[in-house]
Amino acid sequence: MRDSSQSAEYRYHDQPAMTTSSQFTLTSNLIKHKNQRMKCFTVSVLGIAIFAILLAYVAFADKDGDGKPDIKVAYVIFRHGDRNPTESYATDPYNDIKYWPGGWGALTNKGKLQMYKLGKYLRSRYAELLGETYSSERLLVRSSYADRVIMSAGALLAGLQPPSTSEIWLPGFNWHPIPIHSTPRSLDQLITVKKKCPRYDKELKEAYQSEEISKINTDIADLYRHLSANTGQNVSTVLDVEFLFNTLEIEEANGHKLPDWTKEIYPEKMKEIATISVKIFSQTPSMKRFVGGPLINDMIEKMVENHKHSLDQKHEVFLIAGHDMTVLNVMRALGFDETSKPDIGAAILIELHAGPPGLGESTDFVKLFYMNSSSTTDPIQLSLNGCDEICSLDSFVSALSHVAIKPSEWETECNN
Amino acid sequence: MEVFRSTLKWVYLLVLAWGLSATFALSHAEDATPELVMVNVLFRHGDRTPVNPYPMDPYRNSSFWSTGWGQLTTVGMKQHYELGLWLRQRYISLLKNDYAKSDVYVQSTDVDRTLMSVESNLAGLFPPRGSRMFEPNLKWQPIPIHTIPEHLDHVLAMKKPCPRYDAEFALARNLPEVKDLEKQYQGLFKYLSLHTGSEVKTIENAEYIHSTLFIETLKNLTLPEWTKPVYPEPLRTIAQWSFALPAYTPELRRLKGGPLVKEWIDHFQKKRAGTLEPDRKMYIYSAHDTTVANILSTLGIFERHCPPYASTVLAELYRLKNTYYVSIVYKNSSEARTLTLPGCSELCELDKFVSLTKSVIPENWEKECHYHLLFSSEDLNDLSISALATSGILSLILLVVLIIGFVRQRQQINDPFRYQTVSTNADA
Repeated sequence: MRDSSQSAEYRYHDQPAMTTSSQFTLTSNLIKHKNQRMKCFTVSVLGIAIFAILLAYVAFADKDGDGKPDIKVAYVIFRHGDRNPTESYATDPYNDIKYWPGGWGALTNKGKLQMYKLGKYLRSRYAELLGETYSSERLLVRSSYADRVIMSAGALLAGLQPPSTSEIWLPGFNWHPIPIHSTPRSLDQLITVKKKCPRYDKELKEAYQSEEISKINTDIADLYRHLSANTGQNVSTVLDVEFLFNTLEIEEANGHKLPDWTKEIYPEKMKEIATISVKIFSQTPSMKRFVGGPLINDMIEKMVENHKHSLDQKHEVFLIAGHDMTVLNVMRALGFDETSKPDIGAAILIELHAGPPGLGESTDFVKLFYMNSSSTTDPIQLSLNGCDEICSLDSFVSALSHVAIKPSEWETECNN
Repeated sequence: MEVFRSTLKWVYLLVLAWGLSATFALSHAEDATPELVMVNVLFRHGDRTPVNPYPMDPYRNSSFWSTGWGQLTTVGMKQHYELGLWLRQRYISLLKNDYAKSDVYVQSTDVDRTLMSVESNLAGLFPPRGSRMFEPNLKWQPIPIHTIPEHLDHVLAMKKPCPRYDAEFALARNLPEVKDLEKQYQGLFKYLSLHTGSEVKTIENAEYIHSTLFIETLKNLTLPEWTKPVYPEPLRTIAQWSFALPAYTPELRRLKGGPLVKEWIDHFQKKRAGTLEPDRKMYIYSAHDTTVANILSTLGIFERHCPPYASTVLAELYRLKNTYYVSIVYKNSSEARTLTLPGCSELCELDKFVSLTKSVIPENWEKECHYHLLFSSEDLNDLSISALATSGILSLILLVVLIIGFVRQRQQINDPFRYQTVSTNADA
């Protein structure tokens, strides 16, 4: 909230400044034919007038312009919370379900709490937008197929929109149901984007065989040997290293002491390789468009739609619950190529802000934030390539037109 | 005296023997109690607001309804929470008191009210205990609920397009008893059209009006005067019919309710064979009144009625001395009762259950949906036969003409002079 009002003020000051200079030129022409006293009088009257205008702007800004919320649309894409490992390795001392209550890949209690807190944070940020009571017209929640992701969305909602007094349906129970719409993996062309796409599969295969990756494979041959020898299984690709890294990371996060052989390579060296591995999936501009483009298209559609119908005062929050790859693919498609592998609870916040009051809808602008992990609630503001930190909706749309892809286009291009 | 004592001894021994055998028989009888091994649970969502009020509805204004159209109300949440408590009671020994991802799978149609209903239900069925709570003041835990977009879901939402079904449905509408029914209510349909401001032409249209009026009476709203002669009867009877129609004939059952019954049978058979992976104990399906009606119709046990809020079908699998049995239970009020499949007993042996339902289970739904009606219909009528014959003859003539044309063209190409001319041109 605070960031937005600051930026709004910053713009309001801009506006009157322009008015001032044009009025001054006008005035100076007049004064030439008048005497000195007259000149002094006019200047002070104009000065007061300008001051009054300025004051009015500031006053309106403080009141959030006619009580309209600053933010019209919030589109949030986040990674699920802390989970159990999805796999283990042959010599893993923690390769036993007794270490992992809830089962392989399940969201842990820690993960539930992280999400619940993220929900509370988003509540504080978007309170006005969400309203006191839950409304299916204001809030839409979508999730990938995965249990841990659907559960993350559920825990987040428990913190984001607990029942208001009028919504309590069981005395003493501070929870109420909010729908989470998920899609099976094989049908998903939005979040995991695992729906069959032959063209992308071909490009992914080529990316794995690219010169760059071959060179990396040669460079880290020693690491592969070291890992194969110690894990008791064949480690020969960056993907193998990534999976191993995920398992070690989770084990460490859950207070398990890692074996000695990890000392020199974990976390730095392995995270570096894991990041290379996850980036392969969005290696080329075309691949970025396939895996990050659908969500970018969706967020643009939602913002443009809202912008067009702004007279209805429709204010909306869209939540997308996904995986590290979901967040990374979108970040890279947005042009932030250097993003490293997103941590637990990483989130992208895209917000459509209302322009200064009275200046019309064309001044609506977009702000972009990134939170790399659940431990921070201090989103970093980013600026899109070809746009300022405060990016007009039009510029935002045109800056991303090359990556945004509609479902029908996706279907066609995939099968071409 | 001696004789008396020895008789007493015998009597004593006899009583002991009897007692022992009785105990043995009793314990044996306990062995003979079927053991519940798994259950498929299907229910309708809870109390909701009207999906879309009719144009002249005095309560059309959204201010009468706390949430949007077709949304679950707090009453609906409570209904499902209570159903969750009831299920917990019934299956407590099966589920060992707690949610486990390997025991339970939950699916819902992709509609707000069904998603919210099952969420409320699970809050009652699986409250977290002790270490399962992630927030000290919240007796709730997230449980994954899976959905499929409605237009892709042929199993639960039963809304994936199926041309063959549409054709079969058109045929069913032309059955004498259905036609008679619509004819009988023509006057009523006109009356409804006049007073509601929406065109009522079919049984389904009338059901829509019935549903809205029913919800309004539940909310203690006074219905307009015009409803007096038509609500609840005869509108209720028509509404009840509307739930029978979608799976009225065996063909419709096979394409509508068949896929879900097939899934249940698959669970049962895998459970028996020990190949169910993960080895689940409970599948929960959250859906609509139409789903409940269609499944009961498909099983041949639908008694014409409107399935109420939170009405529940339980398809349970029992084991008794290595034989497996299916029991279908329907709970449409506070009472649950066992329904018997025609030709079977309350506890229906699994193999018998499979053979009794065989005709309504599609082998390949997708394929059957796109199978052309003309060739699949058992009774090819005269018109279709003559159509077949005519098109056959026509295609034969076309084929002959094509062959003649092709042969003639080949003869021309083989002409050496023509061949040469073409090749010189090509070089130029």
